Amino acid sequence: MGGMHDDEESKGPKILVVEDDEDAREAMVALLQMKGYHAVPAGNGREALDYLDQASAPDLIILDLWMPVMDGWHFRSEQIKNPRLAHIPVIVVTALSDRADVDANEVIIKPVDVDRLLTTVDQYCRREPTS
Amino acid sequence: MSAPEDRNKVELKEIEALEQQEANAMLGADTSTLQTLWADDMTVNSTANMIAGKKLLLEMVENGQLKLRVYERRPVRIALFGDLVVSTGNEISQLIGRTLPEFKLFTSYMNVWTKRDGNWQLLARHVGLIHREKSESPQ
Repeated sequence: MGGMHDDEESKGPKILVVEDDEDAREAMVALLQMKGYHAVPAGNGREALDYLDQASAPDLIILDLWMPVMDGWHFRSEQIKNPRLAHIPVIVVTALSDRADVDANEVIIKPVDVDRLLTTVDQYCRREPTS
Repeated sequence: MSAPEDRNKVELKEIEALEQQEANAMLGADTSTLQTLWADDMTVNSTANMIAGKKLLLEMVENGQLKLRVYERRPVRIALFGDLVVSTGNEISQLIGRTLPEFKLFTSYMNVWTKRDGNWQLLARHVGLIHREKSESPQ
């Protein structure tokens, strides 16, 4: 999945990063891991659902919208339909400026301001921001 | 050549050298040099479409999250505007181990340098992807 493994033994809140752009996905995973999170990559919505079907639920999902195979809108509608997954908060990261089109707990516009992303992630994972 | 033109020529040579020094410091993970060359309020927009500042980027270099196997910088145009310099060119880079296989990135960049207290510092940087290819010999 996304070129990386999911080590369930890893410490810290678990975050599923759903992003098709390899640079963006791996940079975000590296950043979150550096900040003490257990970040798991997925290359599109289908990969993310397959992962969620088999693994323990993450504390947070970071979701791109424009992706091949299954886009972020489709993933989100499937997530909401599933009682086991519906409660997981979602931060959408997108270049779209029309936020009304997006059903998510938070929307962060690309390019992503890393400081804002980390503050928002900390809020949903209920940790104090790391310096 | 007039005195102002001479001065400009010297400044541009200095920036050209600093561009290479900064690239070498990135390649060598030389955080003490980067600490000096980067302005405290530096802003960088990367090919990952992420905007980061000096503190976080230094942390990533120190922690090995931003470790480069290859880093070559070729300025194409360097232009002086008083105490600001805009340098534009292309780069080849390869991060160590973030992805397997590793990828070589061919990018364009724009660096903005500013002179503060007599010293040039990198204030802003934007990097755009031109091409990404799998590295044949990552190790």
